[in-house]
Amino acid sequence: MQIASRAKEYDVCIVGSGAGGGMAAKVLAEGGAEVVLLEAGQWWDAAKDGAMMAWAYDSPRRGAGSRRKPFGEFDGCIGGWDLEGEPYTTAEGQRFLWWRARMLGGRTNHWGRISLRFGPHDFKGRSRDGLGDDWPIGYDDMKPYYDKLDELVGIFGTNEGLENEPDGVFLPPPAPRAYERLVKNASDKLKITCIPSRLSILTRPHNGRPACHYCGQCGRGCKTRSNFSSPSVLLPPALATGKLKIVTGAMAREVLTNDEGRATAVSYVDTATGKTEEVRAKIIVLAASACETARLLLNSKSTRHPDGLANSSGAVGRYLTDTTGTSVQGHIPALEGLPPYNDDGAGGMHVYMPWWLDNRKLDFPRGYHIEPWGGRDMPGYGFMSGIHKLTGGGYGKKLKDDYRRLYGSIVGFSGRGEMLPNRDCYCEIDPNVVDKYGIPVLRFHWKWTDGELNQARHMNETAADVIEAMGGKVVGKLPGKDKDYGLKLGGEIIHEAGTTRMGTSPRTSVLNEWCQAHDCKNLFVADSAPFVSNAHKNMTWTILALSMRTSEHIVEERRKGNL
Amino acid sequence: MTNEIGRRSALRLIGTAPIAVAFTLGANEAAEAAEKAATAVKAAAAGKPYVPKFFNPQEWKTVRILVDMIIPKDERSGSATDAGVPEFMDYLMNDPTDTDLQRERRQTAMRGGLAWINSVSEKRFGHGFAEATEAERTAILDEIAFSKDEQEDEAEMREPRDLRVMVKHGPSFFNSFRDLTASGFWSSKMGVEDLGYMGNRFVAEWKGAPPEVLAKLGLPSD
Repeated sequence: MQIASRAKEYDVCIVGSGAGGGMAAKVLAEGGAEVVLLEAGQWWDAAKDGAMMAWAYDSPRRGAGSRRKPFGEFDGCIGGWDLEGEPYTTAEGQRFLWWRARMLGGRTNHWGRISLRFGPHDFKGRSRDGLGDDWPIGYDDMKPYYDKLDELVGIFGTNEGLENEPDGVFLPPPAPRAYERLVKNASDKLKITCIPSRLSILTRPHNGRPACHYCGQCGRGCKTRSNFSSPSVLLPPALATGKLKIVTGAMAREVLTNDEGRATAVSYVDTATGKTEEVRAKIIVLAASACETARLLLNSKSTRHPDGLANSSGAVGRYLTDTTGTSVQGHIPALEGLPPYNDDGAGGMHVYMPWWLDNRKLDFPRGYHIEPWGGRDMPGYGFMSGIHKLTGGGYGKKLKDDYRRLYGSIVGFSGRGEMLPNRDCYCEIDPNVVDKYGIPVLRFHWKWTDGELNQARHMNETAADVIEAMGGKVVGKLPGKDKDYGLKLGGEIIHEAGTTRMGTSPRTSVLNEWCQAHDCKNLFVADSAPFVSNAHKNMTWTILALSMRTSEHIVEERRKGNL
Repeated sequence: MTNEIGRRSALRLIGTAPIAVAFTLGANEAAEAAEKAATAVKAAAAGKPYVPKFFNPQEWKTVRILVDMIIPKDERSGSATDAGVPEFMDYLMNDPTDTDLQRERRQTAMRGGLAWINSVSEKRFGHGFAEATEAERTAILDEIAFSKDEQEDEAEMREPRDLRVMVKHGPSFFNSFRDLTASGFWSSKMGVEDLGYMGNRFVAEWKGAPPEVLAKLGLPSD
């Protein structure tokens, strides 16, 4: 167990080792700063600890999910919505699920590598439709960082010239799978935009990392580092500078401040011993995930910051959003009984449908995209579960043949949409509950509006149209209003954002345009908490680009002696 | 940062019925799991019969009969017992990292379902399911194995009127039991080979679907 020295004052202390923290560590260490990085979870190395290429039958559990691995026992992310000894609460009668990763690299061990830039519209929503708020920066401010990010990490895709789906610096995309070609044809028929997906998986060797070998198992942790995760791409060069110290098993408790209100140190619990430690730094960068960052600030009360650090606006914990999500599955008879072939491909979809309609003509304010999935996946726990919904079930020889026939013929469509922040969705400190470390926990408040519900209905109807155009049939019934149109719960898509939003006014926002706290000049946030809005585009690419921008700014300000 | 791959890996046709949740909850320590698997394999190799840890002898008999009725041996592959499905189920019932509550729910759903089937057999035929004739077993399964949807109108279910109240529990259990049997069978080496799954290997150059597949779908090869 490494303990950060109490005696030493680091230049920068970063809390969290995921996308935002990993990028900050790289840029700051390469920029000459002495950096200490606190990670609440354990050390984890995909090359040694990952389960890439394991068969389901290598385990007596056959890959079944568990409390620490809700997405299956071979999944590369240790975490979940329900962590032992780390509760959270929800307001009476409301539901919200809060995912936490507890490992080096955080949630970058857990994602679909879907790497989408926010577009010009996404930064200026209010100017376009009067809803929500504009970011204090626009796409032009972000573009150079997205470009550098593409080049650094490696991403496949195609330049399509779409106005709000900006082009990038892409490696060639992999050929679509068989079912994806049917999806594409059906989409063309329906005039739904369907283009090669944009995933941070290498289709060519890139910056010393080998190309993908198409096992389709990115989620287990790539042993060849051919996809993006913070420990695979960002932490090695940061460590190579000799200026980065990583402390795992360090659960941050509080940011300490001095009489002038400046941040001076982070106190954390050494999860191995239960003892509280302290690390001093000139600059603090929080990248603990949107809600964990908000919790840390709200728990950092002092006479200068009586409502929590950087919270004179009262906006910490507010403006909480998640991505909306639905899922519809179809049975496509054309895909039955195909000759055996390898359908694995890259770890995720090879095509997707970016938002293609105009919200001014619709009864919901913002867009969504669709992620198709299916194919002849590796059989494992849950194989064809629920077959009775499709065939009536049965047993015996006919059932056995049904499984064989239907294998690979199910295609699903996951809608992922933008919700607007609303006053009923936020987190705060629960006054009555602490976790096993004695740290007060978050209480969540969550209510959908008609906008999200109407959007979910539209997602379902679109999926049904595509399934029908593929000659297939929806499995089961489309969920109705009584089931919120199948809208996943708040937090279930694991895209929380907005809890320390940026803005030009210290009265209504927590951070300025550099993700620097209005109330505390040596405090920065580098996860998705600064997001002013949460476009339907999976947020990792924007967390990374924004953290790069913030971190380069810190390097520059340090050089000038301003911090 | 949603892990779409993880979400998809189960390829569930539908979310989860209550009893299925009881089966699918669980926790994991991979190393311990692998050790338990090795023990089962060793026992088999040594010619010793597997001694179930959860199922009592009567339940064990019933489980072995049921899984083979669900997935029998045919010309292409062996049966569910050939693929080790009962051992897989026995393992899951005592998954070492389940919470106590999860384990209790899982065990109750399984034990209760088997007891339910047994009680129907006793009531109708005067003996338990394991002692029943093939015709008697088939009669019971025919009544509970063909429901399309446990929430569906009961008029669509093919059970005799006098059994209706009881039999409503049958399809729920059987659907979960069928799903668990399928998980165990198709994820086994035998099942994977039967399905012709060709992946989980290094591919030097990804070319998409092969020409014979595209031809069958009426798609041009690029």
